[in-house]
Amino acid sequence: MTHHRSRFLTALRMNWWIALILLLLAFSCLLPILNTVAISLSNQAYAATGRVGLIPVEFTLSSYEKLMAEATFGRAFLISVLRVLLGVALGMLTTILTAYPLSKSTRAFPLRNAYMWFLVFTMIFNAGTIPWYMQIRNLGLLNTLWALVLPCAVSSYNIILMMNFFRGIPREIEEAAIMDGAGAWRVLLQVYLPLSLPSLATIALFILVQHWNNFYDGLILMNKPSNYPLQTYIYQLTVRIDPSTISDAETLREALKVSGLTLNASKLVVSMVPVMVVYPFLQRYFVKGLTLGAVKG
Amino acid sequence: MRNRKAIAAYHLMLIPGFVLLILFSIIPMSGIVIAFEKFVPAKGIWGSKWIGMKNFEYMFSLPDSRSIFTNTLVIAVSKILCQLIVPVFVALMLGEIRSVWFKRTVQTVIYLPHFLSWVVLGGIITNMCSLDGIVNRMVMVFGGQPIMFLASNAWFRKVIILTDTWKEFGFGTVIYMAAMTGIDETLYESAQIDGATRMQRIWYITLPGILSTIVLMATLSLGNVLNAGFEQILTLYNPLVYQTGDILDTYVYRMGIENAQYGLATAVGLLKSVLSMILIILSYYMAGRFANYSIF
Amino acid sequence: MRKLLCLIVALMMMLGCAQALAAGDDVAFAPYEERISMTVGRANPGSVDLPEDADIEHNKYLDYICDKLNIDVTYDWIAEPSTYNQKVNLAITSGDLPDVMIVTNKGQLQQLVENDLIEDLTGLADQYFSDYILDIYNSYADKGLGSCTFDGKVYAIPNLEAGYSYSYLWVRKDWVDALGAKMPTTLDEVVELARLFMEKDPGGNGEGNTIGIAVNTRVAGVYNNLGNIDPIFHTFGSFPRQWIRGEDGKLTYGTVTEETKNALAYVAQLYKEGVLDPEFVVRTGDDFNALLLSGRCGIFFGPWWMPDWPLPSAKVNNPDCDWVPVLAPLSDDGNFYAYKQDESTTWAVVRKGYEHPEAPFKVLNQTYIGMRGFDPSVREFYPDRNVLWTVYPLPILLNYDDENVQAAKLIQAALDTRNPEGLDPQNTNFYESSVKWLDDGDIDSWHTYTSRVTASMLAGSENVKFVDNVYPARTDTMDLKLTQLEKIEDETILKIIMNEMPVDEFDSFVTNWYAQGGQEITDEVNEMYGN
Repeated sequence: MTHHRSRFLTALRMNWWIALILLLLAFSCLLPILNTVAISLSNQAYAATGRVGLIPVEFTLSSYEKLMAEATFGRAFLISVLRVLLGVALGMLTTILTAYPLSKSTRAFPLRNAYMWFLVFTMIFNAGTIPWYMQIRNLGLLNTLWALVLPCAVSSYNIILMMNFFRGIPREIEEAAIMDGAGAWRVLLQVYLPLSLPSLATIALFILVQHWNNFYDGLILMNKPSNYPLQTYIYQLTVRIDPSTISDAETLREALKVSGLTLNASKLVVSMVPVMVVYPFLQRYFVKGLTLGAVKG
Repeated sequence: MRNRKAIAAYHLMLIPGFVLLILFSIIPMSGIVIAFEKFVPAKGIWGSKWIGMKNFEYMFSLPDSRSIFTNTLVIAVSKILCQLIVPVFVALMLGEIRSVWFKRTVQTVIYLPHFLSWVVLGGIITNMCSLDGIVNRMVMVFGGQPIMFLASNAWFRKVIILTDTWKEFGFGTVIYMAAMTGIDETLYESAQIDGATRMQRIWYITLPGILSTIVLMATLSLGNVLNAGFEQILTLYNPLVYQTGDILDTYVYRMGIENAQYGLATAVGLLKSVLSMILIILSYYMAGRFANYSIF
Repeated sequence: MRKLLCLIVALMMMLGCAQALAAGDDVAFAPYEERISMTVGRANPGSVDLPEDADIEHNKYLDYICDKLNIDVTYDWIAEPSTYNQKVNLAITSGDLPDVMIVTNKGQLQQLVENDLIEDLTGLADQYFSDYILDIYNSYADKGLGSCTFDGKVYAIPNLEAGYSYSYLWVRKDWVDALGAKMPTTLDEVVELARLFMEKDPGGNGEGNTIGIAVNTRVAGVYNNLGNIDPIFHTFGSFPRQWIRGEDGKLTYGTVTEETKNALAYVAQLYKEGVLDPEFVVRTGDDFNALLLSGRCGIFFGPWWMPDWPLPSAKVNNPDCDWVPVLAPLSDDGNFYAYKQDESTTWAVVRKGYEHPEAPFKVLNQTYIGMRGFDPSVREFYPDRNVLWTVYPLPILLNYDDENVQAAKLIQAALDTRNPEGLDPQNTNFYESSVKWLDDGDIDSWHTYTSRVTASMLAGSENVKFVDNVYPARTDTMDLKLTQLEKIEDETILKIIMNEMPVDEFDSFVTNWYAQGGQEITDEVNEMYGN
């Protein structure tokens, strides 16, 4: 009894320590973000003096208004949403379909290693922007939504990760299914996928984040600002104060309401929104034992 | 018979992914010839002048090439090590927490810095490291002299590595958390019955359970052995710390500002790729040989 | 809808066209008889303040060009400034050049010429430019089209940037008055004032928190920029990072001179004494501005437009703060020395084979009628907006070298009599704002008066002397070695100033600089300018 109790106390004490360390870590991660949010909601003149801490000074939404001021915002938002939907769907499709055969042993799938090394090769080597651009141009994809989705639909990194998760699934479960007469497609769909929800959620999150936040390809592959996805649109929204043309007080006052600092901060907040929304939701799948337990039950 | 049918299905599954790879990865790779050219956009990839290994020779003949390579390697390798160790620790700690709410919140929060760009973080870090910033205030509380961390060759790399680890550990933690959900719950249950301590549980069940993921992450990160973090260093360095902080990418970037040196940039990229490939192949065979474990 | 509009307008134009030509109108503004199209590649001007139903590709300014000239301008691509050079390179590589393209890099311009990808525009300027624009070009004599003249042929339409944007002193006059000090003119007086500010702390920052002189990380040699301490170097006859023609006509790189060594020794001493911002090396541009705006610093150097940006925020924070420009520090002979701007940094080029190489000239003629306010109807396009001029399809800015100085004189003259008659539309705006500040104390108008009148007048003072400096095109050696040379240059300047390297090591830096490619570059540059 005493033995039991002391173990319980140790566990509790240790949990306290762990919780404290984790809290500190989380806090250190949260501070800069709170600071960023506060700056994004502050009057530019105060933000510029570097005196905004965790609470907005002279609360204003003008930097967000600036973000959404132009008609292009809605369009860009729509393009981004389409891109994320299409990108995640396509990305998950290729990741699952490629990772599954590659998770087999060479005995079950003789050419597996050749495919595998091919994949690793494409992950490591690339020839830079110019040839990549030229190929997308030659395929006639420039200035289309497909240019944002197709070239990055296959992520070797995610595939290898997924493959590794697939490998962790006990062989016996698959064998039992084959005994029941299931083919390769059915094994994948009915055995592997339900067992891989946490990893699928992880990969989906990575793809989503990547698509939502990638501004560079929009910058290079889209020819018109009206075709930009949201992050590219936001990226180009700097306040370009051209002192040689500012003539009247009105323009200047407008320009001073928002400026580099506050606008940049609000851009960041926007870039984090989908993760804040989606991540806690996806995390349901990370809760230990949920999926395996369900199958076992 | 069954087997052949399954193999056919496997090939079929691989088609979409590999067609896309060929289109967007393999075909453009012919552009690697740029590394051997004095590339002039107006002459195109196939019309530019072939100069053989000149771009590579130039890279190694830079008066500072030694310090640049050293900086790159030291920073990159330190980052890789930290990126491997810290997330494992955090994931293990999170695994010990029972409260689902607490776990979720912490996980979400530590993943957030991953989304902050270095441009924004640069400002925050500069402020924290300034003479009257929070770090120096702490230094002074303990009786030390304030230090200009970002202008000191003794401190610059440490700041770079620390802040990068802080920014990215949440990402790795997510992967390990996902791997940990794959561990068979019954193992823990029987450990409990056997009266295993917490440390024993972690050591004999959790760690082996995610070991393959750790090894995998280690191998994949070898591809970054010459990527010391371009954007981060660009926002934090200054000429005073060129000595310890100037890396390959920042140097090439400075070369490219005025006139795009595509030949040189491609050569640097190719060099990095070849090195990473060698390291990955090496680790693949080592793992196979010594641990009888196939990474890929 | 817009197409329909254009069509209607075109029909009307065709009727009006004959009339205009019959009236003997200038060829510069003559519309094409048949609608021509012109595709353009340019940088995205960002937010130009268009209303919601218009954007950069569809707006009344483009319609205006179409109405007046019968040129239908469409954009092949609009790229972001941050990746602009890359986008141009991609367009060049893929061979998809628009009819008219803006180039912002001289190397690219050279390449386009060497590979015969753009039209020879020789003579078209004289033939097609309006008198207004031609006069601006002629005011620069050979330099007007010089930047894009290769072997006597003109290959582009260059921009022309106004001068007099060198840095001089900006001081918190309210601090000076509060301390009963006097405005400085010599270097010693400037430094003395900085010490006084630090000691007496007129801003109430707390002991040791006032910065003497703010300086940015580049220290010196960047034109039209705030935070360089160029004027301090100039009093030593030093012009870091600039190519200066000596009395023998030879060009020398300004950093590697004895004068720069002396100036560095002096500045290093200032740093040691704490007069120079001790942390300048790790301050970002935002941090630098924060020093000025939060009242932690009362002295810095910058060009005439400081009151337009970033100083207005200082006024918002503290209406009493009074930043004023001073032509200081003067050299021993009472003159203020400065170097000149690079006149042309942007060019419009015409694709080889475009049928109407003269079209961009006409577009610019019409653009300047609109943007400089000569056609009042333009102001009615979007009456409640202040649309930036970069909304026009070819953003080539043309200014007289002394444009701002002359404008300041005209506005001042008008202010003296309170009579704006004869001012052009833009100056009338400045005049009106100035009156608001002077007569009504309207704090939002402070910046216009201070930048456009006070500071611009000051920039044109008689005792300002310009050294003979040039901006050479990049040479082959520069492509390969400039990065390395700049690396040791930046490193040495900072280390000497921050006392991490003794001044005497400057000599070995100079030796290194010449040995690592500086000699070749100096020779090439001298050859370029016929030495």
